[in-house]
Amino acid sequence: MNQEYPMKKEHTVKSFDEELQLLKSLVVDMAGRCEEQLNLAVEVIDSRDAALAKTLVSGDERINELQNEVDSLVVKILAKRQPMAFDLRMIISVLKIVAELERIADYAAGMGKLVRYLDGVSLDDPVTSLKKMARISLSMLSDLIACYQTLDSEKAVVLWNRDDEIDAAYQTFLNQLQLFMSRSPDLVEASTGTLFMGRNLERIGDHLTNIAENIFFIATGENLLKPAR
Amino acid sequence: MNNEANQPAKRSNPGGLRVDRENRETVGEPFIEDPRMTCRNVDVFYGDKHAIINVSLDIGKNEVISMIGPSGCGKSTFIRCLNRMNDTIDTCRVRGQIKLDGRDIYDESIDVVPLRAQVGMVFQKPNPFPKSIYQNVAYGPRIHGLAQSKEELDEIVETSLRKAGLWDEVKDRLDQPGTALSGGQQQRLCIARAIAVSPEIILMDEPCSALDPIATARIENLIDELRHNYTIAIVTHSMQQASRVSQRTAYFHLGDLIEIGPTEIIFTNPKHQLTEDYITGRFG
Repeated sequence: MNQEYPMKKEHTVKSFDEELQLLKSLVVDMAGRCEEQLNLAVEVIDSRDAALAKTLVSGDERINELQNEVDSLVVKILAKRQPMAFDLRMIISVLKIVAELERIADYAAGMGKLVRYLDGVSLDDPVTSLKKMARISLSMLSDLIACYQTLDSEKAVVLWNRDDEIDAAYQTFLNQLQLFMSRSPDLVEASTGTLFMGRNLERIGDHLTNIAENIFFIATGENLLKPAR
Repeated sequence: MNNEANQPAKRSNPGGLRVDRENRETVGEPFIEDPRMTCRNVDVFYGDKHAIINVSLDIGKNEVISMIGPSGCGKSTFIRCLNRMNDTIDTCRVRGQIKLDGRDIYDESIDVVPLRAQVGMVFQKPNPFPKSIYQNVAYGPRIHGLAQSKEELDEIVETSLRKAGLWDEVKDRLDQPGTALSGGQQQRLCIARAIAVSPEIILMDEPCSALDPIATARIENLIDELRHNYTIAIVTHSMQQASRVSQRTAYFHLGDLIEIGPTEIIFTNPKHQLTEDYITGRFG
């Protein structure tokens, strides 16, 4: 049985399987690093540690490199193999997934740059909500990595719906921050810095949702579209 | 927030959609509105060998339909039934019904000579007659009595060579042997020869397998142009070719028609596991 993806027989051309295996490992590596970055972001929000924040910012570089490696490999595979059906959907979707991961990593690194605005300021409630959003994102990303490897379309739908949890936490965060701002009008820098961090996490939620859509597409060949509300 | 709004607009269970390898019933829609040819419950035997098993399929007007599948799957055998080319094989027996514009082509009253003009064929290896370029194209119209004068015949030859995209390359050497042309030109000459007898359908059995990529591209471009006036059924081993030239694709496996559907669906999201395995190179 092919280890590349579940329920898929091996290709007659073995080197094609090897390329797909490499592609998969690059994606999993990149997603794992994004997971570490989000984990670090939670720690940075908690500790406000400048050195840790610097590590968070610099961690983005390897993720960008990995995206480039995936892009190059995809171009090579498309040119060499002219993939069809599942392989085509998978390869095209991987290209989109790594673009989503790159954005997630950018937003995580952005939080490392913003955390200095929180120095010496007590923003208890909004920061609690920020951490909640970050933890939901982390949990979604971990589950998405597993889902990408099993290509479970049902699970992808469940994860896709979890963005609502982030959106709800973001709304609470905004309310709390507005209350803080009205009470502390002199702390403009801390408030805007916190606002941007919340915005970053909300955007991360959207990118995670896009990854779930791509996994669903690989598995089923159909688009997962949110109905108009 | 209501739960309904949180459900995807369109969702499916791939496990439920996929058809496993053991199921040999045709997946997809073999029938179309206003078909040119209708094939119903077609079986073909070579002696004891059951080469085509209960295949039903419509072929539409002005469409290119491609037949794909591994060697020995029956795709060539199937298109050869469409102009009774299998009649030339002693051991071959065809059962079922094949109609062209509502007429059963296997009816006793049918004369296969005009039938094969109506349903022309282009083969894998270009096979021009050992005659001049002009005579290759003029032969069919002459024996079928399609031209009343030399001028009319000249016109048919020119029109056919133009339609086959060959006129500009050969107009100054029509008296030279067809066999002296390049492989790609010979194949286009064979297409011109088929066109010259005013066919309704052109069957192509791996028409590009002996050609280089440039000659192949010219034939594919020609197929695209011919589609406006003719129906084309093409057998090809090149999935890229099938995906480029055809509007519908049929996948055959060990004599069964496994899946038939719009080409873009077959090559991006086939429903039968056998189709998926074959087109992604997981066959065997």
